[in-house]
Amino acid sequence: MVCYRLTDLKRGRMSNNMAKIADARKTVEQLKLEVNIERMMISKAAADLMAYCEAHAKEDPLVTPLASSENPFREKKLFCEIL
Amino acid sequence: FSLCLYLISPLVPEMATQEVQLNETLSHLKTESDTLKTKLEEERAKLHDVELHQVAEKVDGLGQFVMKTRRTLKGHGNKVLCMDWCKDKRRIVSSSQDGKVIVWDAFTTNKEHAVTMPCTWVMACAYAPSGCAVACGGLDNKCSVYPLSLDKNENLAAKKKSVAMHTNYLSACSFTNSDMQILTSSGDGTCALWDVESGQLLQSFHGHAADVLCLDLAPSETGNTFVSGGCDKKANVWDMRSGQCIQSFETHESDINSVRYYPSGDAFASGSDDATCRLYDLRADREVAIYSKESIIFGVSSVDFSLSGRLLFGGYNDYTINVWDVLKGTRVSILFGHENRVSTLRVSPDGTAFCSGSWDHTLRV
Repeated sequence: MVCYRLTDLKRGRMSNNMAKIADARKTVEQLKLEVNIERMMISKAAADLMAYCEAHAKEDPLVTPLASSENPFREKKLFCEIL
Repeated sequence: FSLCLYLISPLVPEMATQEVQLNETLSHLKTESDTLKTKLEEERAKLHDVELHQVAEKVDGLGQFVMKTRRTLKGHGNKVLCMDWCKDKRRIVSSSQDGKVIVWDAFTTNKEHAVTMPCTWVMACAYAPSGCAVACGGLDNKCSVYPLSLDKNENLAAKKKSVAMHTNYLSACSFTNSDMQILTSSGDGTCALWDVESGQLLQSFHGHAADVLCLDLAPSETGNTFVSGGCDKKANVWDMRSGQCIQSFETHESDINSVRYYPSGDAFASGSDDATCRLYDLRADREVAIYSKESIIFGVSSVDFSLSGRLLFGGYNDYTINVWDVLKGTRVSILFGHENRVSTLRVSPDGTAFCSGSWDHTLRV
């Protein structure tokens, strides 16, 4: 005759619930932090991103291509001299 | 039979009320968190006064794009999974499914070092800022650092140092500004910061609900944060000192395979299995652009910005690389060449080139 203590099963379920509550509390605290951060309007943020791109465009070799002589990856022509 | 009843009956009422109370607390907390989530969306929506591409209308369009493969690095025996540039702008470290980690000179295409890892699927590798070491890891759940010796004959594996230990695969790793600390992300759902010398865990970052697939450190001027992306479709921004998650973004519809900071540090891009790349601005705290086309249906494995942040390169599972105009949101170019999916992509430190690694066993510069 197998007799499971229903109380033990219930205790197991309770500690599982306690863990879920601890997780739920953490989620709530985290969300409160995220809701309260300072934010900027997209118009301003976008303008800043654009300004950065424009300021650095000339230094960006993939946007403003380098002269072939300055490209470190260009095919190097090898000359052999027969001495 | 009656004995059982005796054990059960006196305790049930008390525990029943406790259980009911716990369930009530749980559902209160759930309601509170749902309310907060709605509030977060409302706060974010308030800032949505204009779209990035509208603001970008006054910017000049980019010229015609001709990008050619200048070098093909052959030598891996299987899929290339990850690569990183050395700060000297010419050396590259790459890792592969066959367990090999190779250091190449991208100018000459010569292999300078090769290490065989004890595991297959080396999913992560990184070059140390000094150029004197590389870190790598994968299915061994560890991140190991190999000092690079100038002596070609020296067995690199002998000097190997195990730094990080996770409980699941290592998905990404990166040195911080120095050779002394490494940041890792893992299939165990966490990221962690380690001291290389002692192997000690300095900080761990919990918050992802599933495997973390990628991470990127903020450019040094902007301070101690990093962004991570995972299978829970979230991109999280973390404070490295406190371990706290500062911001979280959940607009992708599938796993986020790659995250990369915009060069100014004020934004980051992400690439996902949902076939889109997205740009998130950290100060506006929201997604500000989506880079997608109906014709693109394959997932993005890897993203990186050009030096000025104007171009976003995305490596896709349909073997191509799409180049996007970050500001206008349009595709500038599509690059073909790889014969299998592109798994990794990084722009060189001086921006003159970018390197892509693929399941076709090669890397292209």
